[in-house]
Amino acid sequence: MAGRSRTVISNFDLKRRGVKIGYIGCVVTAVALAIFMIYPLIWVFMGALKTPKEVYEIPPRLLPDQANWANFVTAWRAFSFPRFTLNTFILFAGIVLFKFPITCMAAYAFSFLRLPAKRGLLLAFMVTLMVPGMAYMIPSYLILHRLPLFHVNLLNTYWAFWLPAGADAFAILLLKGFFDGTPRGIIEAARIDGASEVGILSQIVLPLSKPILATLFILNFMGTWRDFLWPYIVLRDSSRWTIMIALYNYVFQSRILTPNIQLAGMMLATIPPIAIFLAFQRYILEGVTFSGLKG
Amino acid sequence: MGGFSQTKVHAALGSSYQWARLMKNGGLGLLFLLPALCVFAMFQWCPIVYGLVLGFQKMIPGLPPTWVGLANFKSVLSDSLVILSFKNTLLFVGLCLVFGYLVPVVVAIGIMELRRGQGFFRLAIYMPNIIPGIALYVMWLWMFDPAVGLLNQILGFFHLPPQEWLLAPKTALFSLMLMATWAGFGATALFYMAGLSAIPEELYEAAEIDGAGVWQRIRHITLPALRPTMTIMLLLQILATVQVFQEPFVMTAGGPNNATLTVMYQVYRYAFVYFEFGKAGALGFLTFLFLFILSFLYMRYSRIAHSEEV
Repeated sequence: MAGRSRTVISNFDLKRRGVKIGYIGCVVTAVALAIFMIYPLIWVFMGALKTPKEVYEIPPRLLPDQANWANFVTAWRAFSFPRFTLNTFILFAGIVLFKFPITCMAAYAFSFLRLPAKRGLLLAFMVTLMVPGMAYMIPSYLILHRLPLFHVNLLNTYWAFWLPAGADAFAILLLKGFFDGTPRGIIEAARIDGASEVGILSQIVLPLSKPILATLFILNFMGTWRDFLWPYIVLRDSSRWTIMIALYNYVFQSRILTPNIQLAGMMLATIPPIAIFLAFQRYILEGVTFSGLKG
Repeated sequence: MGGFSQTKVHAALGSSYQWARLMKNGGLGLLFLLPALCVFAMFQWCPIVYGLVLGFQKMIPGLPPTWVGLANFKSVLSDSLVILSFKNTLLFVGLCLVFGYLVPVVVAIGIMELRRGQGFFRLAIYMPNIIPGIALYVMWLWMFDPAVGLLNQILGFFHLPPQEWLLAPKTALFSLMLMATWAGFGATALFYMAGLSAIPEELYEAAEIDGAGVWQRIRHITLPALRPTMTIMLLLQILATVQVFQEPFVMTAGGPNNATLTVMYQVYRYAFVYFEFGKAGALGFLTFLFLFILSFLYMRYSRIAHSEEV
């Protein structure tokens, strides 16, 4: 997009009065919109720095008398951030250990190996992208309640999060799309040299696919960090709560914290995604245009 | 264990040559696919089938299910709360489309025209998207607060009467829509911008040389080029908003006076509050059917539109 030399309005148009007014209208709208998007964030941040008395002050003021940075320390302790962040990371570690190998191998099979009824199989995987997420929730819950064949109850264990996460058709689609771009010649040459398929996947294809792996890694981390509903349903025990479940329970269920501490907790929970987004914008937006199709 | 079963397979096949051939003709591929097949069978395909079956069963966890025919569907459709949830959901979908569907198109076109600061504006409108759902709800809980919230401050600034937002049945659903639109706006606009940047510059150049004005260029080049993106976004937004659940679940618990009770919330209540999984399955099935027909119609329509172009 950066390299575009022109859009609808050309530089010549801008010399005309009507177009110029329209253009100024665009700028004003964009600025107003930016304020509409950014100002609430500033307002909430200031709220997190206020004392409880200042939050309830009428008429309200934007700025607190002095910034109470200690609110963040209080929130850090009140929401037990260290413990619940650790739980979130445990969930993410499971994703890396299960989802990545499973989806990489599946994508490799679709890209480079012979499969009976390949189109049909691929369709069976991709159809799951069309089914609305809510349709899964209740059957999946019942399946985890009593796992077929094994007859164990996986609810309230991390497996209830890890195992369903492994069945990610979107990741397979993304990886397969990237693998397909790998030059076939390299794969053929390695096969002639006697490399095993596992070797080709781990030594050649994966190292060449670092950009897409990074994108998936970041998207999955953001996803795990934000995820609420499914973890909330299957991880009821407070020792397994994630940050989002804790935030929900402490703010919306037991209303004991003052608003400034609630907002400070909200800010703390938002910092990691924002930091990661700013650091890896390029990778994430690549995925957004793709995941937008997923809905 | 593995070695033993392998020799058994070898013996069954007669020679290791045949084994190698089997591997080459798709066996190895299936082996690579096996872990994915297992988790997909268990957590994707099985739930889909199970979800279809569940509506026809009386299901209490721990007890063997019994078949009850259409009883669940009958009792679900005669439940006045379900009818109310249909109305609320449709209203929510409609409100979201009014504010969240056409406005991002206009904004995307406008921002793409800017000569300076495009990067900043993109980032600014995308920022709310990054806030995790629950954190967003905490934030808006205080934005909506009738006494100290930002929204009533803004209304006061324009000398408008203060509202009760989430606390009044009249405004609760509208408030949830406002929050959802604020949070999702940027991603939609960014999606359109990607579509806009794919329009060849030469088209505008040629149109300008032929004397087409700015409006004519937007009407005859920009909008037609954006049409496929707009249709898929319409479908995706309907699919997403029909399933609205988390916002009312967390922020209003369906209240006040069931004003924000949505279909998916009713499904959740059937399952996890009343433990009537059969009814939850039936209502879920009906929603799924509706969304499926919608997607099917879209695919037919887009195929027809596509073949017309060719």
